[in-house]
Amino acid sequence: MTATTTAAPVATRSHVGWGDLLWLTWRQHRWTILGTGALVVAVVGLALGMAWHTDATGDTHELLGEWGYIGTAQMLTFAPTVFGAVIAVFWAAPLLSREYEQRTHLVVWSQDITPLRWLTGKVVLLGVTAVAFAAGLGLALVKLLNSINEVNVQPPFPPFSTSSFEAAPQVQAGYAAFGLALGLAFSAVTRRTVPAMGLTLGVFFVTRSFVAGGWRPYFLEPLRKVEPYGVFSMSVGTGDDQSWRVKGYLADAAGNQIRNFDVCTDVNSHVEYTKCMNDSGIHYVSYHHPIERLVPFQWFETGVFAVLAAGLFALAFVWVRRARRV
Amino acid sequence: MTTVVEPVGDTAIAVRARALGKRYRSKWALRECTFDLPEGRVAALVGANGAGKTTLMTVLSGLLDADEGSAGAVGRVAFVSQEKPVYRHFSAAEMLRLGARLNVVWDEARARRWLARFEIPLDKACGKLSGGQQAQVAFALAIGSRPDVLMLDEPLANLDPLARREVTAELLSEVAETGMTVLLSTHVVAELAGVADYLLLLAHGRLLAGGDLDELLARHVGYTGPRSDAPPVPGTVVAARHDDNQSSFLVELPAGQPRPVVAGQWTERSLTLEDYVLAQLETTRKGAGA
Repeated sequence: MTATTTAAPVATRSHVGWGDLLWLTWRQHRWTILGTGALVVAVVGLALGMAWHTDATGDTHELLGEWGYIGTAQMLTFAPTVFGAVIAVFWAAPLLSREYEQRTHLVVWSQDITPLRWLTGKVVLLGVTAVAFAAGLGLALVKLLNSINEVNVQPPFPPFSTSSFEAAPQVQAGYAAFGLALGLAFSAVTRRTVPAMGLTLGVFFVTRSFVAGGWRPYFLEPLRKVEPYGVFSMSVGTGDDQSWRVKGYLADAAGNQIRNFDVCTDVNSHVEYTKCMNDSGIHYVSYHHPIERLVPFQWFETGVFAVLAAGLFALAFVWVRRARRV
Repeated sequence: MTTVVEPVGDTAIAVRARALGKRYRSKWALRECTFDLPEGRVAALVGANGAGKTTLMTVLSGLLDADEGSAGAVGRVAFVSQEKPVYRHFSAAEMLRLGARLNVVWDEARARRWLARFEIPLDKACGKLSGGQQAQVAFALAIGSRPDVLMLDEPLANLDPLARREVTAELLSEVAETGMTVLLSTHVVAELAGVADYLLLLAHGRLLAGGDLDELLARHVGYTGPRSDAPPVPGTVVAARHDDNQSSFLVELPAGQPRPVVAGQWTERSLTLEDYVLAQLETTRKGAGA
């Protein structure tokens, strides 16, 4: 045993813990987290305030122009879309690239912590925070949209509308996780903050648009419904049916698709038109998803983004692990 | 970072490399590098720009994987890269906090003493410090983590001449106190006089020479005498220069033999580190052309 000559005690412990990673993550990202948090709290506060007032008064206080609660709610439903992008571009894209650019990865990875442990710490801590923010945002918006729908004869936010569908907390959480993973992957691969941010933003919106516009209507085979023209025309706009009509067309008695104005062109009134259509045996063929599919679809969309996120996280980790240069 | 790749016996070797190779795409930055650095030494890693010094250090410190061979350091390694990076928004005190948080061993007093020695303000953001001051923060962080092996890449590069001398002196006193092994790279050989006691000489990604500095210098002697094709003593000629009526040789004497005595017209001259390094590097330049 050698006697130590150091007067001050040397702190020794067995490993670097989560508390230490939490300290580092908070110290490095506190302003980003606080800034995003403030925006989330503002949106949640506004949404819940409007929801409470709508519930209490049974009215959405529509003023002249667009700025009633419905209009404001429509604006707020953009927040979730924007939130995922904010996580992707401002939280994740600089996460590794800024370290590479300022060479500070060499500092932090030269301590008693491996790059993968460091990265895991950051991803878990920032991920949990981002997902919690996203879910909170979603819950508040769902509450607001429900309250508004409640007091309107014709609900302005039908369940399958983009705003309603995407406000679901689990869907929001999926977008946030995907955003984080996407930004991180570009951050690891490009090692440059600005290109990583740009690519992340572009790919985030392309992916979101593709899933929402191109894929979501076909998560399951839509149900086919054929109804006589008269029945169809009576149901339009009543809002009773909460199902999601993906597509529809007019068909003649033989079932062939026809264009709207190919038949019954020489009529003078709506009544005459309907009668003519019925007499000609015109049907309306529609493809739709019943309301029962709403929650499964939302979970499926969450799953899609969760799988994408998992793949991108794996890519980022492998990329960092197998780095060919420092 | 702990990077024990293979157990090193009780021969008190601190850093070991075996046929180490590392390439960037198809270009080898480091090849067939084998050496044992004994514990408690201050080793200088010397070589021209682009010789592979940084690559060797990043592989030894575990930041990069080798493509060939193996490398290992015993115990905990601290590495300070060439850029002496620090988090710009952290104060010096917060950088030490980071060291305390991310290391299993932390000596706050030692780190603070280093900062105090170089009069670095503790509460100012590192981004507002000068390059030299940032380097001191990076050194303090490395010193505070009480590494078994401290690797410094071009540690003196952006310091003024006075700071260079002070940093070297402080470093040596840390070595004396803690018994750590230091590996520092440089391409300015003059900086090393009186600092390093072990030499690793790299050229074009290969280890040209390595060993105890005093031993290396004792085994290499310069001879000057009448024009001649061969030196007056047996040994390997490292460098030879001839003019009209005079020849000078740098000879590597055979190991394990007493230094031969020369007489007559020959004079012998002991080498300085700089002479030795420059002569060795020169041979590679000629060798590359041949």
